[in-house]
Amino acid sequence: MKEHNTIDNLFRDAFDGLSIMPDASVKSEIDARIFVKNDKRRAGFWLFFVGLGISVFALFAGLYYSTNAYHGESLIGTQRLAENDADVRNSVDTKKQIASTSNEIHDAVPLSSETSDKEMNVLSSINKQETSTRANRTTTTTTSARAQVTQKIQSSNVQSNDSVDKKDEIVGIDHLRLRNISVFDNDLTSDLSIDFNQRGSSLTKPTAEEISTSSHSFAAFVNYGFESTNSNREQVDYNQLENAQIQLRSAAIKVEYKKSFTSVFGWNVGVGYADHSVLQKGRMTTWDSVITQSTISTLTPEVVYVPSYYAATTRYRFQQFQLGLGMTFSYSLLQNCNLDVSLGSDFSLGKLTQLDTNTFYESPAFSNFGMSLYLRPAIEYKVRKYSFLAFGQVNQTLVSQIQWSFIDRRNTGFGGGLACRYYF
Amino acid sequence: MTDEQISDFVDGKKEAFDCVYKQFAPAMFAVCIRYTYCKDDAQEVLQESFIKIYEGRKSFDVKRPLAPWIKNIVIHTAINFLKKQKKLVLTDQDADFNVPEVWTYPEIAKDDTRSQLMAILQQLPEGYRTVFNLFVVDNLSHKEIAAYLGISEGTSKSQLSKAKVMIQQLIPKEWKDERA
Repeated sequence: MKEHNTIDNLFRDAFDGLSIMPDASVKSEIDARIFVKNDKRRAGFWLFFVGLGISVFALFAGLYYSTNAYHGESLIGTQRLAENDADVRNSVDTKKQIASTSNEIHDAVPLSSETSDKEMNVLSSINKQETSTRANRTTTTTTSARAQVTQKIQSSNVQSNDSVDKKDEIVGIDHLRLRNISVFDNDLTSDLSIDFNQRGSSLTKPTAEEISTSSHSFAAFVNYGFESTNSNREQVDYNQLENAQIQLRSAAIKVEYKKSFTSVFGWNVGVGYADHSVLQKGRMTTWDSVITQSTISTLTPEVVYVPSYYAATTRYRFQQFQLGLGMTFSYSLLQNCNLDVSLGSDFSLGKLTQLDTNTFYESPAFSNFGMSLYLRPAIEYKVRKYSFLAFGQVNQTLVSQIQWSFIDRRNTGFGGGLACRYYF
Repeated sequence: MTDEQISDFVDGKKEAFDCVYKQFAPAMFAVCIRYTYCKDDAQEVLQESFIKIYEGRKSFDVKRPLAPWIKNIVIHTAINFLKKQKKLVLTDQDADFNVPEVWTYPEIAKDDTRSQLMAILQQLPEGYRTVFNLFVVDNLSHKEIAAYLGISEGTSKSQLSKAKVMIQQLIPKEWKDERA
């Protein structure tokens, strides 16, 4: 014990107040790392916000496009109906003139007689001669009409009977019913947030090297995206759906583990949940008969046919659980700023819920399994063991879980979001 | 250092930081030498330590003395450095002597006791040397050492004991006699 104390004192005395001058290169290296690094950090900080700004801009530009594309379509439908109104009024005026001067119209369109029996006969004859007189009606009503007459004529005929009973009255053309234009506003919220648990302070703060050489990391991603796919088939056999379009707006959350196997390359595996708001929209053309009646009592009421366009929509909710596998390439732009590009595949299971029950459209087929490719470029700004990412994302569905008969292939989806990564 | 200089250092002024470096770097370099195996390692630890000192300056309480705060950071950095290099192996098994690296200290005469003690320390395995440094030279208790290194107090005591046995074999007998 005494010997041990002697050794202790020997070392204590020897090293007490010992000073040895390090090489001058140490100080210059410290200066270079501290004071040059600060400038680069500042640049990296701003670069991160530039990336963030671009991502947010892309996100809102996409949403703006997505929303206005639909409202634009509604306006087109409205314009068409307005054209309809004008056409009908013109045609009624024309018919009045024609009826007062000749009986040609009777050859083209069988009309109702003064008795109800005759009216029924006329109506049945209308049905029988529907095909043969379609061209004449089209010419009479509007030059823009081009679709087939639908079964809706039958219901309009019933309405015609009521109108015919009210003789000597001017029956207004009631085609408000035709203005079935619905405007869909998606209320899907993007207000998703993640609470990251604060990690207790470690014994020492990590250095820049410790961060850059950390090969394991966990990241949480929140993103918002959209996809718009137009019909790429003829619509004749698909319930007369014209210019069909499928829009998906997606809010997604993903947790990802990343392991670097070289200084720039790594692989990642993640699990996520995506909530898609799906809008199926399109324009249907139908033909409706309307009754007009001459103000001259000697003339019989007339039936004319007008095309109407239904700009209708069907909404779905599509929930997806995803498992993602990918590769990551990281390139150091500045001291604390990386370009981080990931490429991979998402494998998904999901559930589809149709929100609009009354729809003209066929419900899509649904399969349990889906697969998509994603490319995710990100700007990563590192703060000690954490880093913050602003990223864009491009998705291409390879195996779609939702399958519409009029769509062969889904278009590419675009999105963006924010993420936080923790290195350990 | 004056209070004004310390205040400037906390504010991040380069001149004040230069002053801190000039005043504390030589003493801290000696600490680094004690904990590491060679000059390159010691300089690397010193460099990392002063970067941490600058980055952590906001956490320094100006009411307290600067020297212990700086020394604490240097020791932490040295231990982390050894852990990172996977040199700090703390087991109950006996370890062999390190082969000392040939390095003379210009500030210390080659035949000076301090120079020879440095060389002795460098021949100790990293685990022994670290515990010995922490306990004997830097006056930490076994409890504190255990917390520093993430080991049990028993392991700390065992490492210290083995270090002293090794040092006894390396120290010339006449030194011990002189001290006695």
